[in-house]
Amino acid sequence: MAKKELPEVNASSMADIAFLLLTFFLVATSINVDKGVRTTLPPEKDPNRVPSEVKMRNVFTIRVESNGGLLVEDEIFMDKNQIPELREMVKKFVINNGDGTCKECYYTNEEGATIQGERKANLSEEPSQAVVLLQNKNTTPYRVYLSVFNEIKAAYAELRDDVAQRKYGRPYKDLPDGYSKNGKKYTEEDDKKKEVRMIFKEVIVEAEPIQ
Amino acid sequence: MKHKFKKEGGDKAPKVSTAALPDIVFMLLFFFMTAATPKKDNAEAYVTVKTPNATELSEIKNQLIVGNAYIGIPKAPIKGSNAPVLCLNDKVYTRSQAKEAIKTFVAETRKKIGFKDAGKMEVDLRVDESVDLGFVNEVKELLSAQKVRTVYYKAVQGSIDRNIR
Repeated sequence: MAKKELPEVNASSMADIAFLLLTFFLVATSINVDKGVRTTLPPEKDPNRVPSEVKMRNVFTIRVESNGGLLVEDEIFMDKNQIPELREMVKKFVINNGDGTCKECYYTNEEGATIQGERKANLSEEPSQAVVLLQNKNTTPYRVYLSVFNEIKAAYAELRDDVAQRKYGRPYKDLPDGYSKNGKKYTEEDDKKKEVRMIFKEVIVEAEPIQ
Repeated sequence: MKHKFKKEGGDKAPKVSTAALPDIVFMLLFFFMTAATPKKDNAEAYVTVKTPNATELSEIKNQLIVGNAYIGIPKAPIKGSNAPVLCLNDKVYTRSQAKEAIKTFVAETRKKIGFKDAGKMEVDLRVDESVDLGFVNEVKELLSAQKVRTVYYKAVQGSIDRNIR
């Protein structure tokens, strides 16, 4: 019998498999992006600047105490485990529609009910006038502060999502930002994000911390 | 007959071809190149930072204009104290040193960013959940004085219930 040699394994397709895997991973994984709660710092204090006048009703005051307790609108005391309730309170404050000119002042809550602006005398006149004032103590725990800040942002985000959903049928983050596909040309008309953002303009002011 | 006995050692198994090995290595290389973001510093060697939870996170789109600042508990006590410290560019500063430290930090980061975008500098602020707001406010004020406008509070995506228990 002739000497029989086993044929060598053909490895040329290995490279194909490798490329296939490479492409798969490239498509399936997203580049790890860093995320954080975004905030804009106020400009440096200028003694000559005249503070703009804001009506008391347009300011929603939240005071965070050092034990994490809250004092909302100078009258409602809240424990720190009630912080999630702030979200609805801020939403109601923003869409209060005190002067009756706001057309977008309603939203659908978690149960699917439509909440209309209640036109209360002590809440905001109009969303664009609304200001959320956050007052802290230097001894407030950071995690409580961030939770409160997060809830205020969440309130605005939910209102924006609601408007985006009923006007354009998709959440705020999927709205066009005004840039054409190649990312060069910007048309304000197509910037639906800005349009929605301007309806519920988020103004969060942080007061000087109290001692 | 002779043949039968020879078989044991005679016919060797074919060698596995290693021709595709480079491909695999390159694949892994590419994968990690895209998936990992380069580390800016080595702060975890100096401070412990466990950020709180949050849900309203926005992406930090341009990493090139961001400087990282940490406020956390020092790994080794500083002058016998475990009070929170500031960590910038792998250096640890106490609260009283913060003013100078932030000035240099902003200047150095702006230099790294380059002339064109220096003014747009943003700060990725990672604060331990046990820290008091006073220190954070101080850092924010100092950053504001250096004309930094955008700050990201680094947080873990998750319900805030953990923060307020």
